Amino acid sequence: MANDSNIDDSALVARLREPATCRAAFNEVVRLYSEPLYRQIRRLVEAHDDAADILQNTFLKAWSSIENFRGDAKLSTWLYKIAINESITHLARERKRLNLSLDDEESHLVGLIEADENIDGDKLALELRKAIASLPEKQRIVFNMKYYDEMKYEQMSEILGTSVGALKASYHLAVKKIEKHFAGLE
Amino acid sequence: MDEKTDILSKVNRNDGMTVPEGFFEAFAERMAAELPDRPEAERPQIVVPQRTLWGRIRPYVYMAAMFAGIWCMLKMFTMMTGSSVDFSVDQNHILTDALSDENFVFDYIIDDVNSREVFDDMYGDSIDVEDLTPVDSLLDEPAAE
Repeated sequence: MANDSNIDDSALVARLREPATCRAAFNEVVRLYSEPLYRQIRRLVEAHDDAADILQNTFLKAWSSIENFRGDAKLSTWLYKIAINESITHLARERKRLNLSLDDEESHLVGLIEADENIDGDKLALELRKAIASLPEKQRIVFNMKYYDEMKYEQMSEILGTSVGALKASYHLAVKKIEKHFAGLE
Repeated sequence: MDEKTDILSKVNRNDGMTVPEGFFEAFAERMAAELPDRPEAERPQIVVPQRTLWGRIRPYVYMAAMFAGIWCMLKMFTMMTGSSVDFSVDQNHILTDALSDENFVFDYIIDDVNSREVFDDMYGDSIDVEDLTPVDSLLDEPAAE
């Protein structure tokens, strides 16, 4: 996946601020960030269709509130924050719609993973997704960011509004639970 | 590290997720087509015309004209009501005639000043009555009678 942390978005942000160029610049933002954001969203909601809808909502929200982006944080950080919030909102809405408890959500997500047609057939990767689905929501987000995106704790801290120490603890706990999950498979 | 705990390195950060062919290209095109107008960002900027010299001084001209108008109104009001009549003594013929009449002055002005007040004024001015040189005509007057 694209390593978005390497993208220098200062020129892009400058173009986003100009009314004459903001639309073209935003189309470029969509092309640059749709894949990393999609993957981050899909790892949380699992279903491709839901991830596509949330991705669209993420960009629409970003477009409508682009003037609120002050440029203090990186553009990718701001977009990730919107995407994570949209994903969490979607999961909460789904829990309410399907009348699921937090514990039931795990089996619901596993069901979605097993029914997923958009997979590459790697059984180990599939099993890891199931193990991640068994984690609490916050640990799931932290693990996905750290393990798959290799995101720095500092950037994760900006996105999630959590201290670096707490994020490290969350990741450590998540890894332990995943190891336990695989140990139980034998 | 055994096989179980080494699982994360074996997966090699592959999430196993795929997307339909051309999904991201189609998504970018769809987003570009569906992006709503953003009035606050795409509103044509209002071009403020450059201020001319007249534009800059106009408020001051208007203010000066207003004060001039007020002054004219007051002047006309004064002229219409005739409130500019001069009350000075020179313009009053009756008073002027009276003051030029010696008898009137002696009868009504000089006589009204008594000698006591004259002496008080003189003492106030440090004039000693004894130092005054009598006017011969006044001294001779009783003798003449």
